Amino acid sequence: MSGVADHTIEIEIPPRPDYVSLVRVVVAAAAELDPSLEPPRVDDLRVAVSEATTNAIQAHIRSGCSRPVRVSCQRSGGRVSVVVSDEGPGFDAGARLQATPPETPVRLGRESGMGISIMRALADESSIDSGPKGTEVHLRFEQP
Amino acid sequence: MVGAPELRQAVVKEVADGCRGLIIDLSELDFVDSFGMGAVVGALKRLRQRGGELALVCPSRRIRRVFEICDLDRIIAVHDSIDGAAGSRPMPSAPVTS
Repeated sequence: MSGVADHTIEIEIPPRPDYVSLVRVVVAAAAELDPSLEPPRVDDLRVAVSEATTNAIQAHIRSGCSRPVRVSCQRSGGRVSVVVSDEGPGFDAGARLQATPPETPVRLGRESGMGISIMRALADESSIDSGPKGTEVHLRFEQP
Repeated sequence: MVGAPELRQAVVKEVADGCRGLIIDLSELDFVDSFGMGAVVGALKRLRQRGGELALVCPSRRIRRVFEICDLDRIIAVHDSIDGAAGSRPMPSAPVTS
C-alpha cells in the first residue's frame, strides 16, 4: 500500500472532442495523488485514457447520442484503474486488432484507427467490452 | 506549438505551394495521441502523393514511443535534431493510394 487513501473519481462529460483534454487533466491529477506511480506511468495513463475517451466521444457523435460519456478512475493499492463507458452502437474490438502493416500503401490512407493499439500497448492490463448498447474500456496501470 | 487541425492545414498549404521535403519539429510537443499521429500520417501521404518526403524531429523518448507503438517509425524518419533531419536520406516509400 502507498499510504495514501484509496479513492474513486467519476466524471461525466458531454460527447464533444474539446472535453478530452479535461478528462486527461482530471485523471492524471488523480493518479498523481499516488506517489507510487511515477511520472512516466502517469504519462502513459494520460495517453491511453485520452484514446479511450476520444473513441467513446466519437461513438456518441457517429450514432447521434447526446448522453454523456462516463469516466471512472479508481486508485487502490498502488494501482490506478480507469473505466471509460459510452452508449454508442459498439464495435468488433477483435477486428480492430488486425493492424495494417505500416509499409503497405493502404496504411497511408488511414489517418485514424491507431487508438486501440496505443491503449493496449501503454496499459498494464486492458479490456474492451462492447455491445449494441455501448462500450466499456477498462485500463489498469501500476508501477513496475 | 500547434494542434492536429492546425498541422493539417499547414501541411496542405505547404504542399499546395510546392513543398516536397518537409521536416516537422516536435521538440516542444508535450503530448501526442492518435489524432496527432493521424495528422502526421496525413502529411506523409500528401507529400508522397507528389513524390515528396517527410521527416520528424522528436528528441523526446516518451513522444517517440507512441510513434513506435503504431510502427510509424518504420515509414517516417525520426531524428533527435533539426540538423540530423536536414542531413538525412529519405525513408524508402511505398506507393500511395488515395
